[in-house]
Amino acid sequence: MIRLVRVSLGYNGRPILREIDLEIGRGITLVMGENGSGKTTLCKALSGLLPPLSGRILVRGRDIYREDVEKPVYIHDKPVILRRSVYENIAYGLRIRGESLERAVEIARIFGLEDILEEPAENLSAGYQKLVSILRGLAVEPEILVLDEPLNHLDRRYREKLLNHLRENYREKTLIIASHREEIRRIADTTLEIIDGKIK
Amino acid sequence: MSLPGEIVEITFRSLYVSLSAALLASTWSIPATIYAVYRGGRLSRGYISIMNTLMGFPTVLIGLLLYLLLSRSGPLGILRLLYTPEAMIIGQAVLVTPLISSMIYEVVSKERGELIEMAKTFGAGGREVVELLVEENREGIIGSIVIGFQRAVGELGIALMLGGNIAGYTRVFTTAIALEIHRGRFDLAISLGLILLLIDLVLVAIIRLLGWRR
Amino acid sequence: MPLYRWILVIAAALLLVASIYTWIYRPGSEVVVVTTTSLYATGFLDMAREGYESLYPGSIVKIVSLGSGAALEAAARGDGEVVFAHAPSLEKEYIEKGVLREGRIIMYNYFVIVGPPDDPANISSAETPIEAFRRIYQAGLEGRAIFISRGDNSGTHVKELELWRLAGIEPSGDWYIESGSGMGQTLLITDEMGGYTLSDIGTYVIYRKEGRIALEKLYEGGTELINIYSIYLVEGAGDEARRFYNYIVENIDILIETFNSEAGSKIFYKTSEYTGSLRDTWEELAGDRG
Repeated sequence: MIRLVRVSLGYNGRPILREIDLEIGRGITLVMGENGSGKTTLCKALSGLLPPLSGRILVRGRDIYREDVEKPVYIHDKPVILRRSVYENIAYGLRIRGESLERAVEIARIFGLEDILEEPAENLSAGYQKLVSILRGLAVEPEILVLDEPLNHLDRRYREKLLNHLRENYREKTLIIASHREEIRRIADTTLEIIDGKIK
Repeated sequence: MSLPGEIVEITFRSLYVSLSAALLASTWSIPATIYAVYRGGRLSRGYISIMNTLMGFPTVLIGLLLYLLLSRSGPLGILRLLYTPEAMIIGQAVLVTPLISSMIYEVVSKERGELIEMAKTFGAGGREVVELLVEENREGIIGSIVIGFQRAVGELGIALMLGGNIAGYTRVFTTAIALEIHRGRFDLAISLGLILLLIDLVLVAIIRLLGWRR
Repeated sequence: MPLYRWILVIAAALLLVASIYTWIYRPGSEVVVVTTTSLYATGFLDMAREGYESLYPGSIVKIVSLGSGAALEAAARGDGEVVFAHAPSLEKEYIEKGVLREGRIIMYNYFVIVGPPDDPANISSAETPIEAFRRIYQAGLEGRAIFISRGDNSGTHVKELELWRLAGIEPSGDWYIESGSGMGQTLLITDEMGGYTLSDIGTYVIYRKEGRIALEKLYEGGTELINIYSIYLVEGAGDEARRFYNYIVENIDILIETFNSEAGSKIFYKTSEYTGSLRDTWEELAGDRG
């Protein structure tokens, strides 16, 4: 699905990850690593949000920075909340893509948020805000989904629910999860580890 | 000038001219500035540092340049805009453009990173990102427009040079105050100043209320 | 994009109103009059305007007040059709440039030299204004007096420079200060600093009556201090401008009488009150500049 060809990543010309060759296929891939090891950098790069310093990133064989390809959906570690209702927050991606907004309600129901759909999302606790952020991504049911530390901020009761949901629904798609938490290993098909700017 | 009727008239004219100016300036300041935030890069930084620099440009000089432009023998003289309320609106809009742009930049650039990436990851284009940033920073943007209005309503140089302080036509607070000072009627000048202050206050209060209700 | 759309809609609506307003207010029969601020501030022109507008309903007189220099320059640029001015040497420049089609002297009064009540330079006993200026200069050099100049190329400023020239004095030094502002502001500064200045009688009387200043009128009268007001029709002016010009020229005496009686003091003099030829005096003043 995703292929990295001798990719160096970093900011302001200073690389954090060097000369990576990597292939990520269907199923759930876990990217592990210490804080600051470059997990987020890698995730953003393969989601089309951070052009590599050198090398090419291909999705289904096509360069996501040079060709018109449907890009992976990337969900930040930090909750990104619009100052609108919970419903509008979850539906944002669907709106942009011009897809049916019904799916926002469906995914909210699965996670038991149907009663707070009309509440302003900025009043929610950080835990709920994180959940809403993730549901915005799940609502569009992307072919490739990239979750950056999805369990951070999240309340305990939703962690389990989220992992189960991901395991049931993303086996046939491509899901990349960046995290330093061991508990995700149990749903992962593949586990990568970033150590000293290299991927093992 | 002493009749209450004339003061009321000046009040409405001042509000009208400066509000139009602030809104007119917003019609280009908002998209231009937010697009600059969205694009980032050297060009955008250049744009915003120009705006920051122009903020301190003396109003009488803007007034003079526009006067030369709009004067009957100037390049735009054929429009016959000099000494009209429209000329004042245009002049004040030019005056507050750097201020409004810089303020909006301050407000919006705080949200640059994540919000833009979030929109982009779902496939939002430039236009959609700009729309999102406008909606998400509504209070800040309205606040910037209000500050632009306050700057416009309180400036003298442009109102005088482009409006001409014509009684019943282009006389606004500041030009009326200047004239009354010239006439030695300081008490009247101060009353006008107080009304201006009061309007600022009421306006800010209204905007706050609107902002909170949403 | 609701917010931005609202802004666009409201801005468009406001501008539409502005254009409609401007077009309604521009009935084709209007005249733009440019004048010196000191004359406008007396209220004389507003009185004249009201008289004219009630005589010719539908006609609109727009009075734009500027400094004498700026008023003449605005006329030269085609931004005014009728000019009121009181700076003969400047006026002559613009007449020679062909900007002013025709003009008339309409009235006069006198500049006054004002200063602190104790009059440290003792100008009140001077024989002529030239002598008064020499005494201010002398006292200035000795550190007993200062002079505040408008320094703004106004009619009053031009007059002041003329007096220094006649006195053979190059005005500069610690005793000579340029305020760079209007007459009112200059009077306030002069009062604050205890200095001398040259003022038009209108502004001085108003400020004195309102109790803003304690300055005394220390020297008045004398041909050198005469302040001659003229009206001009600008080259290319329209019919309305011509009619307004004629109205002023024909009714000037009655306007002056009405104004003086309302003001309760003699601010302006009719041309007929002058002994001798005002035109000659004007030429003299205009020529002085070289």
